[in-house]
Amino acid sequence: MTLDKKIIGIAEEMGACHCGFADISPIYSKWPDSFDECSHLPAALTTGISIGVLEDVDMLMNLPHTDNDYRTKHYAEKIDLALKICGNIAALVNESGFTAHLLSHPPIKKATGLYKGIAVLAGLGWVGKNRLFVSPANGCHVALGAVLTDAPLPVFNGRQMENRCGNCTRCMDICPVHAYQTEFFGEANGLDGFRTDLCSVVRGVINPTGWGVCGLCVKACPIGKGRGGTPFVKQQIENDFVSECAAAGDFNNDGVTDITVGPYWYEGPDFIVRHEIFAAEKFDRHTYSKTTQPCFAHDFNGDGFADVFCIERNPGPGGTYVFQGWEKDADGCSGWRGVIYKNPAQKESKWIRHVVLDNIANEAPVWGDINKDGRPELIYSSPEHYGYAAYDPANPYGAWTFFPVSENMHFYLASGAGYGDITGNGTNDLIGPSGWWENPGGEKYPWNFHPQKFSENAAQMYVFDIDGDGLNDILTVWHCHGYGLVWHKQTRDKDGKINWQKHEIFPADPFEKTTAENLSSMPRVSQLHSLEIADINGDGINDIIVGKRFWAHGEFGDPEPEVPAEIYWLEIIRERDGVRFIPHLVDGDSGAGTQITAVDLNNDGKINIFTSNKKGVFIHR
Amino acid sequence: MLRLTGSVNTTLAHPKCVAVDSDGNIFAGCAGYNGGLEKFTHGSNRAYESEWCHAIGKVMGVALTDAGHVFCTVKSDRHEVRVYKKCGGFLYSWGSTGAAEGQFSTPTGIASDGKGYIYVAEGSSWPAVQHNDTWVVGGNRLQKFDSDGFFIWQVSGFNVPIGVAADKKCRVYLSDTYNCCVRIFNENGELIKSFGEYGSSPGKFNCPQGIAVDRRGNIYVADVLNNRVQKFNGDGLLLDVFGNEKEFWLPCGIAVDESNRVFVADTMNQRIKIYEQAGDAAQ
Ligand code: SF4
Repeated sequence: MTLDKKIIGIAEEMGACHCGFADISPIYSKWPDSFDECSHLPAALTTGISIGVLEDVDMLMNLPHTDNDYRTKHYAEKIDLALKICGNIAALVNESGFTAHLLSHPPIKKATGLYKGIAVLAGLGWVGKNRLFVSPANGCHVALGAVLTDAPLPVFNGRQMENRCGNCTRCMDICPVHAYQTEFFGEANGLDGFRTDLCSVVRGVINPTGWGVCGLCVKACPIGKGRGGTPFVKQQIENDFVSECAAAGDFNNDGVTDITVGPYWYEGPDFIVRHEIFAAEKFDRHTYSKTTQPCFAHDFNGDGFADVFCIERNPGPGGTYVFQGWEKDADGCSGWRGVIYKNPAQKESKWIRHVVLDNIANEAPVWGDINKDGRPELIYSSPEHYGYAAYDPANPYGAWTFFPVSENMHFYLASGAGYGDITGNGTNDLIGPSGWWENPGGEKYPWNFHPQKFSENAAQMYVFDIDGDGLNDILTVWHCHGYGLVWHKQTRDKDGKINWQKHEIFPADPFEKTTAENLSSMPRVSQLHSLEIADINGDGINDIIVGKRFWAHGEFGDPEPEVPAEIYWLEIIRERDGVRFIPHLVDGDSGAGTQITAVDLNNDGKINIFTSNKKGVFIHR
Repeated sequence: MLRLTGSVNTTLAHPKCVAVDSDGNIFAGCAGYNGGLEKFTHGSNRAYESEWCHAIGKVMGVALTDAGHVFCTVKSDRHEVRVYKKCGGFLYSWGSTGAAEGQFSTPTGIASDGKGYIYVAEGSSWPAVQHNDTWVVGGNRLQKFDSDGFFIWQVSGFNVPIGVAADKKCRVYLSDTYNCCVRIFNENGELIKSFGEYGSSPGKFNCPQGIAVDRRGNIYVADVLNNRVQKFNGDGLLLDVFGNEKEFWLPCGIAVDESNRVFVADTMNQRIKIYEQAGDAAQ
C-alpha cells in the first residue's frame, strides 16, 4: 500500500473527517516566519498533510445554553485527537524514511494560519469571513491538525475551492465585540482585519472560564450544518441528465417496487436493469428535459402493472427544451401536458402515450386523492384556475375532467400546490402559495378562498400536523429559486377562526443582517425546488426531505449554482413548548430535481430517497 | 423611566463589575488584560475622578459591606477574595484555587447582605482540579461565607453564574449566565424563584451578568449580549427595559445606590454610566 493510502487509512480509522495533501511552498514564500518552529530541520518541508476532526455541531448550535464545561472539555478532546492522529501519521512518515514535523498546538502566533493554509491548499475548503477554515461538508466545526513533511505525497493540484461566503456576513453581524473590522479576507495566513484583542475580551471578560470564546461566529455560519445520524449510502444509477422527476411503482408486477424517471424505469430492488418507456434523451444541463415536472406511477386499468403519468413540456424551436416563454403552441396548449404512458404489461412491446390533460400551468403539481374517491387526482393550476383533474375509471386513458376550485385567477404560471384537511372537517382543502380554498363539500365550485402568503414561489406544499397540537399546519419552501424552507403553524382564535404563524426552518433571506433574534443554526441551501415528507427515523412523525435543484436555471440562473448540490432530511422533534428541526445531510453532491420520492424501496423498513436531476439519477439507501 | 445623569471613563480597560457606597463613591473592577480595581470619588466640581487604581489581577466582582470594606473576587496567581479599605489599603484575603468548600474556581460575582455575609459565585475550574484524591471540575456554584471567609453553605448546578446580589432581608439573587435566567435564594440557600429564558424580546436574556437589587426589592439585570438593562420587581415581573447597542456595548456590571441611582459598567465602552430614576432622586 502506498504511503498516502496508509496515511488516509490512519486518519479514517482514528476518526478524522478529512485528510488531504498540499504543496505548501506558496506559504513558505509568503510567510516564512510561520515555519519558525521547524527551522531546526535540515531542509524545508514543503508538503503539508491536513487532517480535521469534526466537532459536536449540536453542542455549538445550542449556544449559549451549552454546558460550558462540556464545551471546553469537548474542544480540548477534539484538539487532542487531532494531535494524536497527526502524531501517528508523523510516526508512520518517519518509519518510512522521511522527515515529518507535527505542527504545534496551539499554533505560535506567527503560524496562526498554517493549519488553515494547508487545508485550503489541499483543496478541502476556504477561509471564511470568520477567519476560520470552512469546509462544504463540515463548515467551521472542524478541529484541524497538520504534519509537515518531505515525503513524496500526491499533493492536490486542482483549483483551490473558491470562497463561498458570497454576500453572507452572518459571522460578522453577530460578533458581540465587533472583532471583524474588514470583510475581505483573501489569505489563509494571518488575521488581517480581525481584532484578536477584542475577541479575547470575550474570552476573559464576557466568559471568564477556560475556553471562553462566545462561539457565535461558528454558530451563525450556515455552511456544513448537516448532522450525522441515519447515514445514507448513495447509488448513482445515471450520470446523465435525463429528467428531473422521480416516482416509484411496480412496473413488472413482481411485487417488488421499481422506480421511474419518466423515460426509463429501473427494476427493483437493485435498480440496475433499465427499461425505456419512451425515447430517452440526454439533455444539455443548460436547458431542460422533457420531464422537468414531477411524474407519478399508478395502475390506471388495474392490471397489476403500474402506468406512468408524466407532465411533459412542449419542445421549443428545434425540439429543444430551452425555456421559451409562455406562448401557446400550435395546438393551443400553454405549458405542459398530462400524459399517461400505458404499461404494455408484458403483452405489447411499447408503452402507449395518451394525452389526458392540456394546459397545466403549474410547477410542482401534486398527486393525491383530494376528493376521497379512492383514486388519485392531479392537483394543479390551469392558466386560469387552481383545481384538480380526475380520470374516469371507465376510461382512464381518455381526457380527464378538470374541477376549477378557484375563481379565474388569470395565471401566467403558478408554482406550488397541495391539499389536506385544514379545517378538520374531514374533507380535503386545496392550498396554493397565496392562500387556501376551503372545500364546501359536494360538487360546488369555486371554493371559498382564504388569502395567506404561504410562499413567494413554492414547490410541493404539505398539510400535516407538524407540532403535534392537533391542527394541521403547512410546509413548503419560501422561494424555490431562492432560499427558505418554511412552515405555517395553524392557530385558532376564540371564535375558531383560522390564523397562521410563519416560521422559517431554513432562512428565507440568509444574507439578512444577523441578530440574536434571527440567528439561525440552519444551512444555507439555494434552489429548494422539491420536498417530500416521510418518517425517516421511525418515530411515527413525518420528517422532511429537501434538496437543492442543481442548476435549476442553468449555470448562472439562480443563486449559488456552483455550490454543492446537497440533500437533507430534517428530523422533526416535538417538544413541550414547540417543535425543533435538526438538519441531517443525506448527501453533498447530488441534490434533487423537481421531485423527491421517499419510500421503502426494498422492504427493509427503512425509507430510501430517490431523485433525478442534471447531475444524474440517485438512490440514497 | 431612567435618565442618564453622568458617565465616568475608567482607567480600566474593560470595567466588568461595579459597586457604589452611600457617599456615591464608585468601585469598579476589570477582568480583562491586566485587570484592576479602581475607585472614583466626587472631585471638587462634583465630577467623578479616579482616586486610586490597583493592578491586583483580574477582578471579577466587587461588593461593599455595611462595615465599609471593599470585597472583590480576584483571579490572578490564585483565585481568592480580597478585602480592601475604601482608601485602598489592603486588609486581608481568603480562599485559594480549587473545588473544595471555601476554595474558588474562577470566582465571578460577589455580594454582601444586610447581616454582613458574603456570597461568591463561580464560573468553572475546567480543566479538572484535584479534590480529595479525585479530579473534579469545580465551580458553577454559589458559596456563602461570613465576612472572615468561613464557609457556610453552597449551591451548585449552574452554567457559569456571573452576577450575584443580596438584599437587606438576606435574599440572594444570582444571574445564571449561560442558562440565561435569574435565580433567587433565601438566606439558607433554598431556591425561591427562577425567571427568564434565552431571547432578545423584553424579559428574556442573552447572557445576563451583573445583577443588583434596590431598597424596594426591584431587581436590575445587565443583559450583556442584548446590550441593555432590565428591571424586574421581586416576583420577576418586568418593569422596565433600557438601553440598546447605541447606549451600551456589552454592559457587564450593575449597581444601585441608596437613592436608586443605577450605575452600569458599560464594559466595552470603558465607562460607568449613571442613571436616575424618575421620582426617586428626591426620596
Ligand atoms: S457566516 Fe457567512 S461570511 Fe461567515 S464564514 Fe460562514 S459563510 Fe462566510
